[in-house]
Formats: sequence, C-alpha cells, structure tokens
Amino acid sequence: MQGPSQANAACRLHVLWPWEGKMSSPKVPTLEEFRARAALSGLTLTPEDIEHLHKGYVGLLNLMQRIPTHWAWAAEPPHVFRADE
Amino acid sequence: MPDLTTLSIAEAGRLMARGELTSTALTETFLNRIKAVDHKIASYITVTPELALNAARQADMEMKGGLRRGPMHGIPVALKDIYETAGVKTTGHSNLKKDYVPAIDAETVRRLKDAGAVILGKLGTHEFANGAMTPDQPFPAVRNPWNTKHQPGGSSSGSGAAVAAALCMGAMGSDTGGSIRNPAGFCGTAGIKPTYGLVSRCGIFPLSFSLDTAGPLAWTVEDCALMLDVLAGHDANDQASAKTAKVDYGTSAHRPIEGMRIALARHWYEGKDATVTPDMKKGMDEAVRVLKDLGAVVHEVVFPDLFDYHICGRVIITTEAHAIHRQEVIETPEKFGYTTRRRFQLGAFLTAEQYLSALRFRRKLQVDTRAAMRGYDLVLAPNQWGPPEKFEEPQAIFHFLGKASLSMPFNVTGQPAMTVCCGFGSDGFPLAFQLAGRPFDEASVFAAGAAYERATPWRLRRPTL
Repeated sequence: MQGPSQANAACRLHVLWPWEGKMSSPKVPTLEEFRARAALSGLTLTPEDIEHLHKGYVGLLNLMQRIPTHWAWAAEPPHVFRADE
Repeated sequence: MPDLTTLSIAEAGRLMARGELTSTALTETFLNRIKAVDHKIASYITVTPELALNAARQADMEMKGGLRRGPMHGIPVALKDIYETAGVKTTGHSNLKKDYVPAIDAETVRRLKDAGAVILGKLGTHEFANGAMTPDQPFPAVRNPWNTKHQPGGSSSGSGAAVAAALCMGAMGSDTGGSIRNPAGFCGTAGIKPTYGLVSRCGIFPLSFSLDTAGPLAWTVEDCALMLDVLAGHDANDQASAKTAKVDYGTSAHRPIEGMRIALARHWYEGKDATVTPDMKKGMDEAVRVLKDLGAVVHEVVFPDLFDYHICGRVIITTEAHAIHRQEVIETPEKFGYTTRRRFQLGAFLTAEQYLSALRFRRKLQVDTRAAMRGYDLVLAPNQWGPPEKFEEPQAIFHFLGKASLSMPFNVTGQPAMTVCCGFGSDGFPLAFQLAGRPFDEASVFAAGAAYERATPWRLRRPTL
C-alpha cells in the first residue's frame, strides 16, 4: 500500500499537471526542412540517410503527440529516477 | 542421475550441497553441450572453458572443505556480452568493440563470482543492446532454439537462447525497453527486469541511463530469484543504485499466494488498436484461471494507454542512446550495423524540450500507474503479441512505429516485471505473461510466478537441437 507521503506527492503532482487539452500538435518538417536540420546535426549523412531518417522522425513525431508540451513550471523531471518516490 | 544440463539451479545446488554432484562435472557437461550444439543457434560469442573449469574446481575444493557460499556456488552461468569481464573480450556484438578486453569485472560479475558462480562465457546480443540481429555484424546472429528459422527476441538474444537450449543454467541480460523479457518470452524461459536501481549497472555498456536495468534469465522463476539474491544490493558507483533492505528472494518463491490481489491489464491486449494472437489470448485466460485457483484475486483494471508508455520510453531511449554513442556515430558510423546506426542517429533530431517533456511525462505515468494499482499487489499482462519474427525477414529499422511495446510500461515506471512461460502455441512457440510488482517488491512477483510454474507442466518441455 502507499504511504501518506506518496499519496501527497501524487496529489501535488496532479495539481501541478493540468495537461488535458494541451497535447503537442507539432508541425511536421518537410524533407527540405529536415535536410537543413541534418546539415547542422554534426552527422555525416548521405541523401538516402536523410530521407530514411526523415521517415523515422515524422513517425516518432506523430507518436509524440501523446506527450503533453505544456507543463506547470514546477513539474520538475527527476534528476535520478527512483521507482519508489 | 538425470541429464545434468536440464537441472534447475535450485536442484543442482541441493545435489552439490549433499556431495552428490560436483561443479566440475556439471561445468564439463555444459562445455561439451556448447561444443556439440551451439553452432546451431550461435548463442555464444566467447566460451571460456579454462576459466570455467578453474572456477569449478575451486568451488568443489571449497565445498569439500565445508565452505558453502550459497545457492549459486558452483553453478555455470553466462553473460550478455555487454557485461565487462576482466581479461575476457567484451564486444557488445559490435565491430566497435570486437577486440576490447576490460581490466576489471562489472559489479554484477564480481558479485556472481563472489557467490561462487562459474562463468562459461559471453553471449550474443543485439548490437549495444539496441540494434537488431543483422548480417553486417562481426558475430553470427543468434537463432531461436525452438525453431532456428525464427528470431530469439532481444536484445538479450543469446541469454534467452542459451538458457532455453540448456547451454547454461542462468544468464545475465539487460532490459531498457524489454530486452530481458522479450527473449525470455520467445525462448520460453523465465526472466526478471528488477526494479530500476536494485541491481548495479556499473561495468555494463549503457544504452539509456535512466531506463537501463540489469537482471537474470533462467529456466525457472525460483532460479531467477536465487540469482537475484546475489545480484541485488547498493553500489556507490552506480548513481541510480538504491539503498534497500536485504530480501531473501529464494524463500519468497515458496510463499503461498492466497489472497494476493492481481490487476489484469486486459485493455492493453484486447483493444481496438491491437490484439494478441488467439493462442496468446488463450494462454492469458488460462493463466488467470490458474492464478485464481491458487487463491489469488484477479480483477480487470484500467491503466494508462499502452502507447503513452511506449512513446515516452522511446523518446528517452532514442535521445540518451544518441548522447552515449554520438562521438562514434559521427567519427566512425561505418563500424555500426546499419540498423543500430540509424537508431542512434535519430536522437540527433530530438530537442531538449522534447526529451524533458518525455521525462516529465514519465513521472506522470508513474503516478497514474501507481494510482491504478492501488489495492493490488501485482499487474498481469501478456509478454508478447504473438510468435517471434522469421529469421530471414528484414528487421524493422524503426521498430517503434509498429505495435506498442507490451514491456515498456514497466521500464517507464521502474517497477519489477517478470516473464513467465504460460504454455505453447499451435506453432510450437512458447507463450508468456508478465507479472509486475510494486517498486522493490520482487518478492511478490517471485511468489506468484513460482506458484504458477508449480501448478502447470510447462517447465517439463525443452527445445530439441
């Protein structure tokens, strides 16, 4: 069972994370836009590499719409994750 | 005397304690079997017969003299080849490290050796625990011992295959997004991803610092418990290492489960987005029946959506893996396998904001999962959607674009999660479920998993090679 401190933490986090309706709706980069970013990435990439990575990135971006982008200031990510905190 | 290679760790330990079996005889039997059949599945990259026999003789001498180090004393095990081993090559199944010989052992290897375990060698893996089994790597790809025309799962592919094929009694794997449970399920072994922070990762090649977890695979749940008994414990050299009370996991595997409360995550595997195969569904229904017959209370409970965990974990892994391997990906990209290189390159395109949002989302999912689990001891879910992929079929480069991972939820929450074989499909491949406990409650996971195994006949069937 959860201890009181855990329950309090859960409650506090709920208050701090009013995330409903604030999901990301990212602009998907065109291949040209992605190519420009790739040039700044420091990676050595062929045109074929870039096309392939663009497909992967767009797929990832679509899935990432599930991750909220608007967070309360105090919604601090863990510095070292602890499973029982 | 039965076939020595199919003894459990618990049985072999009892025989050695009574003086009815020597570690040397046991180790020689395994080395002979590796020589005879491993070429069919390529589970080992390096076999160390001399070191193993020396360790076995040492164990015999100690036991003869009355020194019994514990249940792992004299037991032959093997290591995924991302565990650093003093004086023995540690390749990560990669051209980048194919000649790398570490000077010291990983903390987990040191603990196994201190407990008297005998190290037989190093096992194949997906490159750096992330890539796929592809032909552009310096060592052969591991095959599934139940049917060598299929994949064994991964990334701890050699660990699952070697345990199932009776080429070692236990093996170490690592699990960042399911890499212990995936091969355990496809190869029909038991395997546990312990709570994040319970087992040291010091001296193990990293993939994703905030998700990497080290853990054992073995033929039975009880054997995994015996291995975890020597592996668990604080290590000041691992930043994420937790300080927890010592638990006797071996004993917990014999605990009755009457009254234990289990939350069934049925909506994860019978939803509109994806459904397990009919064989797997039957296996799950039967597992629920057996657990109820054993006295457990099983209720369907709604958890966060499977895709939420899946994408959260995938963003964290993609970003951290890129940071870890960035220099090599820039300077010597040709040394990586094609799939590995692509996956490591992708992280260069994720922003700091996206990464931090995923970390914040992780904490939210952890809190929501804990709330859903309130009043329950364990979560029950399938281990895999269906049978393993065919060996010759090209591996998906961006595998996360397919079905959501059934294992990722417990990497994201950090909870312990165990794979337990629950029968065989009509195609002959093993079926498996996962049992996940509250953080640091591996004891309940072992109790339920072992009780299920004792009540079912699935541990009697082995692959033939």
